[in-house]
Amino acid sequence: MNNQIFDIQTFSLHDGPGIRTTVFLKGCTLRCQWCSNPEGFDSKPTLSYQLKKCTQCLECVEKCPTGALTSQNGKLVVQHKKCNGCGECIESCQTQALKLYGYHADAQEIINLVQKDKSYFDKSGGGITLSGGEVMRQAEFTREILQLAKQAEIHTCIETCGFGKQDDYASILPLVDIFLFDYKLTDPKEHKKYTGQSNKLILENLKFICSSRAKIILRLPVIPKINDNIEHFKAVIALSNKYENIEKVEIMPYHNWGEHKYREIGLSLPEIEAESATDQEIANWESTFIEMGCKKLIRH
Amino acid sequence: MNQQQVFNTSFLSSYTNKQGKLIPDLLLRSEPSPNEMVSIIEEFTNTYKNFSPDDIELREAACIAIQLKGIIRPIQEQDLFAGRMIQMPIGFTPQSKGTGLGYCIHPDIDQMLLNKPELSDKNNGKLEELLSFWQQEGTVQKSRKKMPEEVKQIIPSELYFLESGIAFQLYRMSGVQLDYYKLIKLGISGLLEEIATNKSNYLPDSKEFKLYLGMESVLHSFSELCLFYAAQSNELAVREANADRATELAEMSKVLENISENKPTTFREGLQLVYLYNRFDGAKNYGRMDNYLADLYNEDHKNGRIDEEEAVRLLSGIWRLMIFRDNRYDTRLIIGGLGRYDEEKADEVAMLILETSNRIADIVPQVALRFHKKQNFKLYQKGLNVLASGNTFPMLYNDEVNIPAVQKAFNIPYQEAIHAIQFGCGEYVINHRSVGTPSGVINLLQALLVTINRGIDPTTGKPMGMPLDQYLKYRDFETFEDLFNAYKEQVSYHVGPLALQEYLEYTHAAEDNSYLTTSILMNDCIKRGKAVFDGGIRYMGGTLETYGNTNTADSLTAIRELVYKKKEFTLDELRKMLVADFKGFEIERRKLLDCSKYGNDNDVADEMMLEVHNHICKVTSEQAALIGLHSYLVVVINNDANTVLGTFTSASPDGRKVATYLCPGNNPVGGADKNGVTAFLNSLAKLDPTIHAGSVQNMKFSKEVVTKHRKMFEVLIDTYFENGGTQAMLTVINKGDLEEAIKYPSKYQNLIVRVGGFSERFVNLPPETQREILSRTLN
Repeated sequence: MNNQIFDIQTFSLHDGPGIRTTVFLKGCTLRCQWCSNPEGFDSKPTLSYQLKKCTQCLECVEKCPTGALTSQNGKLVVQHKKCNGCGECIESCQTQALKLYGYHADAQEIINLVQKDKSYFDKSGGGITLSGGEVMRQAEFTREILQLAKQAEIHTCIETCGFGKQDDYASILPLVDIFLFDYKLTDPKEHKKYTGQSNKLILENLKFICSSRAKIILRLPVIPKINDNIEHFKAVIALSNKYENIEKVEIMPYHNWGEHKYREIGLSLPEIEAESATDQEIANWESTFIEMGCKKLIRH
Repeated sequence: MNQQQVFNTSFLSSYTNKQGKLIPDLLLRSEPSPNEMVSIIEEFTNTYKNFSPDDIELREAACIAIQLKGIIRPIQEQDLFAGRMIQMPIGFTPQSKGTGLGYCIHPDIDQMLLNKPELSDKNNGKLEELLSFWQQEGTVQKSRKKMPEEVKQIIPSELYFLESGIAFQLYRMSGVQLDYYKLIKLGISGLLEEIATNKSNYLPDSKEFKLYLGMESVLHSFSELCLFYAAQSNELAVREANADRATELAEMSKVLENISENKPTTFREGLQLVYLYNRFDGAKNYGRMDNYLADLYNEDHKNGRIDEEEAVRLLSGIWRLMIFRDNRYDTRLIIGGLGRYDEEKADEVAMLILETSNRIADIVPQVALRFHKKQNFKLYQKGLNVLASGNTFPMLYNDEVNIPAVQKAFNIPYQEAIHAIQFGCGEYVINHRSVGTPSGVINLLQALLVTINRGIDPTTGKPMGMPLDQYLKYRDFETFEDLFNAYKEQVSYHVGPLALQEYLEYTHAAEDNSYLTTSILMNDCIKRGKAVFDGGIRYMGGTLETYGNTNTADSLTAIRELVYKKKEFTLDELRKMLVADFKGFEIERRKLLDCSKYGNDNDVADEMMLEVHNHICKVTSEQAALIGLHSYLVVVINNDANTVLGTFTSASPDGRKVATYLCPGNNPVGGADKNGVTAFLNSLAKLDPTIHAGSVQNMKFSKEVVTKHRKMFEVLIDTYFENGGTQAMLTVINKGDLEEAIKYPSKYQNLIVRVGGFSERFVNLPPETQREILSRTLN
């Protein structure tokens, strides 16, 4: 599926500088166990079902062409794996217990919408941020949006995990003002375990981007007991020192506010058992970075 | 009673013995007993009867003098200023609680007097007679009787809080902003001098002469009031055991004695004079306080007589009295902005006012901060800091947009427009140069619903609004334009009589009263020798309160989309859905709710809102020239009338259920602003401010945004103002909101929960997460 997004969020303050509009592209190349947007994993539209809103009217069952929605003993049974994302059931739901994440959007449509906040961007040094999901899963779409943004003189950021084709990165390089580059784990085995992919390609892409004149903010999801260890921190600092283009390093403390989405879209909860990072933990991580000589850390 | 006798009626004489000495026990008495109150009302009524209706000026002065002993209440333990006064159960006041416009019966007379067990049988009887009398002779009652048939027929009711209706009459005077600057500059003796000078230009039997006499008389009464409180505080000082408090009371006495005649020379004297005059008049708003106190504070401060802490202490004393008085829909106090005499000096007082409100965070005074591009930025910054601490005030008003808007809306030059300030719930007046009482209410949504039902009120099933033959040209609402034009005609049908009612209410009021205390401090009454509603006020304006604006626009958008464009259901089917309050029509309701709504920067919905807004504003403003008011303008304000009117309004095509509140002020219906705060602000800035007299925009933010992201928050608000935003009432979510937000998340749909790379709306989070996030942001 192409040109699929699942959200547009205005007045974003944490996805690049200034006031921004963040566009979330659907589909991801990784499956990180701490992801707060699991609805962005799949490239096609994702069905969400909230049991507590359901009145068990079962009107949706007859609309479903694939048998993803059936009934048993008068109760709705939702089999997410059978859902093809057609959305026929959504209209029949009186209480919005059924929702569909993901819809088609034209690059121009997106820019038209984003442009409405241009006065806020101009005054704050903000702009558009593409996130997701993983933007490079829809590289051409990403490039198209960025192109139109540049034409409209809008500052551009993309958030990427780095898992994509180098050629694709090459094609968007001139169109990106700041890369928000997610760096998750250093140890290759751990990386594969917790994200589903090796970090070899990611590191290669980081090197490639850094060799251009792109600005990079290295974003580190830090999850207690998973990657909040000295070895990983050391490696991050080393990376940030190695590449001049990495202007800043930002800790993204783990939070479990997206957990309800897993249940709603029929995914089992991630195996990691982590609590949202506490203020104390965050402060400790930041201190550690400073003590270890990181001069590029963004303090919260 | 002849003119001489008026001046023989001395209020103070009730407290003196035969030798003319003040009796301490009488001075300290807390309030008249119920039986004594009946006597006072009787004396008041007899005084009233003794005057011919040709001498309304003198009648008023005499009555005010008589009732004074009934309305004063003693200085209390913590008070720093005198001025505890009540409104008489039956008496004279320009701005009554509830319905009243001069001579009036207090709406709470039952609790105040009627059911008191102490009342003797004789007095019970007297009270009944007095009530009978004033139920005919009250100013409002007189005006009602004189209202033409047209008005009575088209706007039959005043009871917007008890029954359904499209338009309602209101009888009252509100929004008087007196010239406190002049009061301070001249003092009582200065005012008397000015009046005497003008009086000498007229013959003794002229109306102008009588007006000046009346003014002199009430100023004498005011002097006596000051002397009374001076004596009372002195007596309290003598009896006070605590040395500090005794000193305080002695100081109060000195202040009161000075201002009884002389112009104030200290900050404290200025505050006392303004506050006491305000209570004496019955006014409910406090004008541009930084402006009128600027010179006094500056002098005191320069000479080391006062420091900032002392000034805040004194202001706090006034604040506490305001809080006790609790006029929560008024008590407006304006600081900042163009049109102040000395901006630098005034800014100093403005900072103190903000600091006082920061420390005594309460629902009054309603501080409004006007700002302009060249203003000292520290004032605006301080305002934001006060808001960030969780205060409701100050409200922000953007001079850059508002002054040109007022110029156009009121058709006055720039030099006058810079004096535009708010009163009450957000309506504009030109400071002590105009009046603009809202004398009517129109429920636009009800107008639409009755129109859809071709002249039947869906709430009661009874006929309502414009007559059936006026529907004929709209056929069977074959097209959307048919329906929309019928709605517009329904609105116009009511606005004409509403304007007429406003104009006549002023005329009738002028026939009955001179509103002496008000006229003294409003331009250009003394100069012209005319009372405020009798040709004295420079700009005689009126306003019309509109409600349900957004609901109406959103309803029209939905009807056009689903009934006429997509033809999903017919108008008749829609009628059925509304009658059923959507029971059995949940899917259809969902479709109506999903139609574009104002507040999301959506062109379709916003254009409809503009059309509804422009229509009601234009139809209203056009009335001024037709009926002889300087201006007659719409106000889209924020009080609880939107909730009250909503309870009598049936379900509506925007998906709203029966009895639900109507949209507040200029805002989108609660929870309808789904596209985020910037979209909301963009929508707000689209509405034309040059065609009405005030609107209110409410915005809620989490504390995190206002503190941690202060810079971006400021950019957000600045950009909104630059884009044409007129006003912002910013509130930071506090503990009280926390549970509300969890119970009714759809009302807080736009609550900003921003974390990097996270996509979610507050409303979708599970309650535990909502609670967690909110308690974090409350820290």
